[in-house]
Formats: sequence, C-alpha cells, structure tokens
Amino acid sequence: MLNENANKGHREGHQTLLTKHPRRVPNILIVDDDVDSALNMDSMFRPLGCNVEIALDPNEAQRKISSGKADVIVLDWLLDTRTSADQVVARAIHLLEKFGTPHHLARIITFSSLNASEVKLPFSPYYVHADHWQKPLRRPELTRKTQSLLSTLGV
Amino acid sequence: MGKDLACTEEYAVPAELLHLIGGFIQRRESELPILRACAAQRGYATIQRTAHNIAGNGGAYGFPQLSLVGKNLEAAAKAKDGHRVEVDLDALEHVLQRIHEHLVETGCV
Repeated sequence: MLNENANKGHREGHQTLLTKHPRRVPNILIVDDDVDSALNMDSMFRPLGCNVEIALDPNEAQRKISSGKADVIVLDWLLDTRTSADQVVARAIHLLEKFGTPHHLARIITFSSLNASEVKLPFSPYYVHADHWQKPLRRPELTRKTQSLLSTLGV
Repeated sequence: MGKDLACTEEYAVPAELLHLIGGFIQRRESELPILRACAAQRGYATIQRTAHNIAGNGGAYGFPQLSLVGKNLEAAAKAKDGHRVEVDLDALEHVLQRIHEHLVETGCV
C-alpha cells in the first residue's frame, strides 16, 4: 500500500512537472511555390508532432517569416520565375527590424536542386542558415535529415 | 484502401502520402492541357519549370516513371526541341493514364 501510494505520488509529481513545463512544439514554416512539394515536406514534420504552416508565394512567405513565430523555415530557393528566397528573407528581416517584432532565432533550411555553394542568404541576427538540402532527396534521406534537425531542437 | 498501391513493384507510395495521391495525380492531369498549349506556343520556360517539379515530386510520391518522364520533358524544353517536347508530353499522358487506372483499381480515387 505504501509503495502504491509512493508510486501514485511519483506519477502525480511527474504529471505536474509535465503540465508545468510542457515541451514546446516546434513551429515549422514551409515555403514552396509547388503545393505537392510543400505537402510532401509537411508529411515529414507533422507526424513528428510539429506545428506546420505552408507559404506558397513570396508575399505569403514574407508575411509568415516576419511574424517571427517559426523555429524552422524550410525554404525552396526559387519561389517563382522572378523571386528567389534570399530576396524574400531580406524583405522579411527588414519588416522584423522595422516593427521590432518579437521572434525566435529561426533555423533556415534551404531546399533546392542547386548545390550549397550557389545558395547564399543575407546575414542577419534573426536566423541561422542551418543546412542546405539538395534535391532530389529520397524519402529515407529526407526522413533522416528531418529527424536530425528536430533533435537539435530537442524533439 | 490504398495498401495495394504502396505494395506494387511499379509504384512505391509512402504510406504517409497515400491520402495525397489523388490530388497529386489530379493536378498533373490538369497541367497536361496547359503544357500542350505552351508547347504549341513554344512557351518552353513554363514547360521546363513544370517538368522540373514533376521530376522532383514523381519520385517523392512513389512514381519513378513519372519522375523519368519529367526529367526527359525538362531536358527537351531546355533544348527548345519542339518534337521531343511533343513526344515526352505523349509519354507523360500515357504514364498518368496508367497511374490513374491503377488508382481506380486500388480504390484510391
């Protein structure tokens, strides 16, 4: 009986700890003008318990990046025939600075068929360019990279 | 529903994407007349970009044949080779038709 009560107390204490300090669910922003590519990426993160938002055009991307909520931004490099991702990020940073928006330090993953040396983001204290994922990526490789990325966030 | 699709040798759709397959194929089918119109007007840049996406997503969604046709079409559009573009668009139509039939057989659409 004593043991049972002790265990119950332990479980309740543990539950209280979990309630008081819930693990924060990471916010993932996927920026891609190709809906099928975006949904594929969404299917990598969502089952792992992430909040996922998608931006399908440069304006939506700029608005969502400058909201400062994303922990990870997966950024397709060429958003349409005229706009590259570095331009979108530069505009979003300008908005963050202008309005002093509270924000997380976002990790940006660039995603493109270009190789890493061709992809340069503007410098900013608002994010780190954490990695470049070169297309095409087979699902097992994409899964490994996604899990590795989330482990750096403590997920 | 959909399990057979994931298990065939020809198709290898990841389980997490099974619910998206119908929409994915439908979007490719609706692109086809647009691509044909672009080919008629020598709008190769649009064809190249669309074919690039087809090549990238075909493999990701478990349709390697679609990816291969997309790569060929992208190369033909890049070379502005009207005849090859037409041939590859026919191939794309054929592959999409086969996939569609398989989706109907397996109850995915």
